[in-house]
Amino acid sequence: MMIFAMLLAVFLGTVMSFSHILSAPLIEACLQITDISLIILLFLIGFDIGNNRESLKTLLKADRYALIIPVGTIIGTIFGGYLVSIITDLTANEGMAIASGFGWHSLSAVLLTEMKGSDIGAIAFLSNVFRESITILSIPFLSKLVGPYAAIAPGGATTMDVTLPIIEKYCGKRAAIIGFINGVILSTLVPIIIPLYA
Amino acid sequence: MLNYVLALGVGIFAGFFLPSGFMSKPKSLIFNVSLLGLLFFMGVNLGRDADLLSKISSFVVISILMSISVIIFSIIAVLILIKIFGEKQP
Repeated sequence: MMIFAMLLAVFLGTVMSFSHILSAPLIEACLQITDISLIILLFLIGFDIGNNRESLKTLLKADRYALIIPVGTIIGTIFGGYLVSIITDLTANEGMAIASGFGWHSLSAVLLTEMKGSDIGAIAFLSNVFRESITILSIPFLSKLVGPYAAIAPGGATTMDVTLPIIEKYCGKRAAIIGFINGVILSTLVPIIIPLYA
Repeated sequence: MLNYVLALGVGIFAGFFLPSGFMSKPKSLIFNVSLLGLLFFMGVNLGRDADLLSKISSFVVISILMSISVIIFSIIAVLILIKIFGEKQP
């Protein structure tokens, strides 16, 4: 449900601005508060990470796959982003920054809009929405093709929430626990890694 | 960008020392409103570009390439690491 609200928010903002329904002074005034909103958002994300003690306990009890999967996902994702920058107009820095959203479309889009402009923010939003959607559709088939643990990798940061039920259904309980830990680690790293590309 | 990392760090610190589930409803409301507001203004910023319509198809193509590339290479990297460090089959 939230994804539709997010898509609608982007769509409405674009249409209202493009068709000049919003006046230029109003747009300028509103854009000035985005930095403050972003700081509030990051504070709340941090708060959730620190406040979620169950996730921290699960993390401490984790087995070796709980380290292998996030490390592989990070390396492969950033390399994949770099390769796309070679065949498109993106710079290597932009390609890797977009990929480093790890499927977290909302946060990567707002961070990259602030850091690199609305074009890169829009690509970050779309590519991470596509990553999440492709993951949801492909896990049943990937779990058979590459095994239950490698099938967690496409989900990136979403494996702690949106894609977790699908991982549990098609990859099993152990993969679900590892997927949850993978999601916690990658979600924590998104707001730390993306600002490094500034 | 230091502001962002600092905001995250202060949030983690505050969250760690406050009771689990502290103010979860108002927190969730503020989070969702801030997020939707930021995405709306991302759209506003996009809409200010007069060349937007000609750019949209290129955004979609790059995004599809990006999502497929990161999925394929994240799977390959994980498979390599499992091969090297994973459990040995008996």
